[in-house]
Amino acid sequence: MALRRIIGSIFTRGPLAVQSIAFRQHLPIGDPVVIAEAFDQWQADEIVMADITASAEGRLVSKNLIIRATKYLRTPLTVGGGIQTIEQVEDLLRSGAERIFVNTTARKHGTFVQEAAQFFGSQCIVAWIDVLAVEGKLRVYEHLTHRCIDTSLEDWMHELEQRGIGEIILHAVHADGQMQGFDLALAAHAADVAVPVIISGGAGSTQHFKDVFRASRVAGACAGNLFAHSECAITEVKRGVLATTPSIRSLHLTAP
Amino acid sequence: MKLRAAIIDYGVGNVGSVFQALQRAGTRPMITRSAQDISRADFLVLPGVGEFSTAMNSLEQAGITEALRTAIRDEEKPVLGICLGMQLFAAASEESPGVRGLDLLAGTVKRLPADEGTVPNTGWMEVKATNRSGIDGCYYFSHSYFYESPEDQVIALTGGERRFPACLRWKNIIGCQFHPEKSQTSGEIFLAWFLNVVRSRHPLP
Repeated sequence: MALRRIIGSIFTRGPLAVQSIAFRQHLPIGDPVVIAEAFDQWQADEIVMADITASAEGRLVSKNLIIRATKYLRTPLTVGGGIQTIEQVEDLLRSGAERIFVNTTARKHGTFVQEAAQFFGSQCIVAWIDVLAVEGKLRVYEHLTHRCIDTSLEDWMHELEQRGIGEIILHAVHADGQMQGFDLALAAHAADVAVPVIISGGAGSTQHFKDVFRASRVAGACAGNLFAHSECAITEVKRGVLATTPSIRSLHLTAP
Repeated sequence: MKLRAAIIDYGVGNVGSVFQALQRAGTRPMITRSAQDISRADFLVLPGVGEFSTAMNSLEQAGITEALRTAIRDEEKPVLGICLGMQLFAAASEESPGVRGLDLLAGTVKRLPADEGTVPNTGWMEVKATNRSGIDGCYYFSHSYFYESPEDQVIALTGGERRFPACLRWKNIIGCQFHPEKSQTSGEIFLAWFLNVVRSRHPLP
């Protein structure tokens, strides 16, 4: 069993990194490449780059950005935003991405996940699911229409698994940018499927990582805002988590 | 003089980061699917993303399957197979029944058992060397299949209950199930070790 991952996520809008607050506000915070390089130095186990408006604007996540970022990165990079075709997946992988994720396209094009998994292998194809807590229920949220879909979260996860998805990222929209901790009820859904599940949204402290690793089976946990705004933030969190949870990767001696 | 690396391009997957890592390690890499480049290179790299039959078909289409076999088996040119690249050394894989691999190493490629952890197996794992290569460390894995190999080819192991080879070596042929190009400092140390093997087999003027 692989060690649990502490993942740095970078939300982008075209060429800019943005801070996302509850999916409504996007404050520009700088060059994603600079942030990615810092995450690499701080020994993030993985970096996720998500262009959060690409689908809505009919664009693809910036290929140029991936090329610039991976020129230096020694850390696995998962990218997504606006991916609609197998050719685009191939292009992004060739640009240096390790894995790609789809959200809207997984729902709109029923055979996409299956085809992509067959062509590139399941380990390359990740699904991103936005989840919103509505009256105490966790529902799959569609940011294009600002609505929740009818299919339940469990059913959607199972369906993706059946189609050959390699991993699922569960992003809590209601926790996004709040820094009040991961949604532990959402993280518990990691036990619903056999593929690895990553939790995202709400991380505000080292304790939040300890909590989610203790309370659920998630294969990894993401943070963006927490990591992007203070020096060595990932190294610090890893140091803290390692003290109680040895199931994450220890820091290499050269850690800053 | 810098070592010349031929990174074999089979159309799918991430050749870019392997290129960057080899360049940072002080070699002169090129991404290629030509038999001429294969014969000119000091060593070969089979990178690793994609699916077994897609990769073999692509080598077949480029007409370099035999050139690879000749360079690796007959000329004993050093080669590093990464992830799927290592699995291609086998004669067959459960991923693509009936498709012949490069057939250079003993053993066969099997699907990871699902009852002992998630499949795909994605993330970092502790690797323990079974010889004195010094390649112990934590490396990044991303795969659903593993190489079941005779013990005398295995030079590093990983996995708790689900033990499988992390690294194989037979003469000039070296393979790793993990991705050194995405394994930060451990990966750099591993590539440095591999390049030492290359240099010791082909002393440069």
